[in-house]
Amino acid sequence: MIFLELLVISVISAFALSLPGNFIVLRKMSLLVFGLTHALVFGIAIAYVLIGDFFSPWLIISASITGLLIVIFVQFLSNLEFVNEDAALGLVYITVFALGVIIISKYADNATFSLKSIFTGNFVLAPFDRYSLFGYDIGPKTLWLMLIFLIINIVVITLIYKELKITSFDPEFAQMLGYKPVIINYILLSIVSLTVVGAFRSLGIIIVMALMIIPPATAYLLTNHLTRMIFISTVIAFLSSTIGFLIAWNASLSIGGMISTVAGIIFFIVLIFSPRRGMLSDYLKLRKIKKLEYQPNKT
Amino acid sequence: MAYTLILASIGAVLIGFLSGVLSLYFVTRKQSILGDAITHSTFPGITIAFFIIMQKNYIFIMIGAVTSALIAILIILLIRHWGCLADDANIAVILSIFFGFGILMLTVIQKSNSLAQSGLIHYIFGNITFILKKDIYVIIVLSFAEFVILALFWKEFKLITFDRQYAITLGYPVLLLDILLMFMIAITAVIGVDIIGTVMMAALLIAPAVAGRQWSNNFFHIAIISGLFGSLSGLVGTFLSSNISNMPPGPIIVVTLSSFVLLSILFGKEKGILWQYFRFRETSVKTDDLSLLNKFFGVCSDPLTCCPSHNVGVFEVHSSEIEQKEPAIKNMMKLGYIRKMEDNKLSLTIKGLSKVEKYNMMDKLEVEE
Repeated sequence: MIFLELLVISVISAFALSLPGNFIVLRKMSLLVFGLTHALVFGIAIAYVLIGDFFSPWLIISASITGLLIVIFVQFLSNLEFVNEDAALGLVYITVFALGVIIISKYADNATFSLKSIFTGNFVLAPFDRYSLFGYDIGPKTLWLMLIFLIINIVVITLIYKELKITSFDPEFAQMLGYKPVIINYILLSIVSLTVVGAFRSLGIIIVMALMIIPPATAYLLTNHLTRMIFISTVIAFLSSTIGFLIAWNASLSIGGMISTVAGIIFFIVLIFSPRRGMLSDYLKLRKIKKLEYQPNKT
Repeated sequence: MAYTLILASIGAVLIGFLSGVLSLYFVTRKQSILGDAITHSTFPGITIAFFIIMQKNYIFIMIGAVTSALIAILIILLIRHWGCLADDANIAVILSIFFGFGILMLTVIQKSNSLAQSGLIHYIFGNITFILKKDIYVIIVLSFAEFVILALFWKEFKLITFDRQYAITLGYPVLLLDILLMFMIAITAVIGVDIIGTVMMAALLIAPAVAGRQWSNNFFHIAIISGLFGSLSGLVGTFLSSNISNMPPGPIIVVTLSSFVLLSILFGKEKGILWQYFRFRETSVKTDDLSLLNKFFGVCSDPLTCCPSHNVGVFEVHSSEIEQKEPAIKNMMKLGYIRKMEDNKLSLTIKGLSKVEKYNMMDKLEVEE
């Protein structure tokens, strides 16, 4: 039973994370999300220390406020002279993360939330917090939480799909048509931070980022079509989460680490063998062109 | 305790200085996130090296860390060269794959030797209690070697940091120098791992240069200032962390460094916000001065018909303009160039008239030149 629950949790988490990840990759915001996942630890740590419950809505509120402040502060810093954008991002995220680590090591370093679990997550603890309805046990809290976030992600993305698409590919044109790229940006970032907060406890920040970026990036190597990219990334998220989970479960290794490693292996395979943008096919095309170029010279 | 504290602070000061100087390379070339990639991707190397020998051998772990960091950088540069993926996704993907693999290795080690694994987490956030005398010798020797290399190739590094194309045309082996620099940065990141931690080390490869840049325009001065910021924060971090129980030094070093950055951004001599604000006000008053005088001049182009005593040079200025140029107008009234007549009317004084004529002459001279 626990096996099945954990499997479903890992698959649903992978779906919920990779869905908004497609737009993150297309809008070139991967590094912003990388910083955001680190920085959200601060918001989570504050709320956890004050409330002591991983499933309180305050966690989401505090983390969202942190995320919003960070995005604003990074933009403010990068507007300054001689502080470029990636230096500003690198500086802000790691400082906020360090503050979070200080809070955790001072007030919260215990079995359920240790410094180590920021990175490794506590996947096996997920089935122990359960919801009950009218005295009946209806399943782990993490499962319900991730399911709700997955539904929120699907609903929000289908609602603003057209806007997301147009602002991702041509922000200036979108601005001209009267769409507000900034607002779409904030909506996307808020569903991202929501999902990150939901998945953080079981997976840890690095695996969360891996599941958000790697499947869409792999899909991006395979297709130029947005709906196909979303579909392929979902398939890859499903494959890597199930295969990774099954291997890790049987060998009793870190489930998150295994999932991201499997996703990484799929990424490297696609990177080399992809028919569209793969290294091998590019190399072969290049050789073909070179051969064609030489032939007229000979004759 | 005091003894290890002294050892750790020596290490932190040296590493802080070195990474402060080297951080200039990334920050000037707008590649700061590569520093993040290097520091994050040392982690799997540490775990693999530990898995092979199953004990904390400093040199062996360092070799593993440098190797995995260089492999990660190589893959990132290869994908960037190939151009099949946007740069940000490229870095994010490789970084998370590497760190994720490190987390996986952590549990592999845990399975075979559960006691030793507990110490490995210190490599993420840093630790000052485990440092040994021979580790410090390694740090001192390596950082001395890096100082020598930096001093020898200072000119070349400056050149490839600022103008790569020019360096290529001059015939410098830019790629080799790049690799040498990356290697040095990886070594610095790795020797810092023991005290400062893999993740926190990333800040040391960004923040000092950002802080130093606010104080000077001279590359050498910036390098020295950044190095000092780095080593000072290393010192503060180790001392505070030894005084607070259960507190890794890495986060404290990062927070100290960031407060230096904040102070520099506010009060820095060259680029500081306060300084720039004052300078901006000064120049804006000056330019407003000129434009106002020019406006006067434009109307009374013939100084003979423009007699201040008869209020010929009276101008109606929009109230919005008065608000906008209030500092300039006040300044000119203080200098006695203009007089305020009624609500929105300004008039030139004799002094102002001569000033206008002088500007007029200067304008003409500039045009003639």
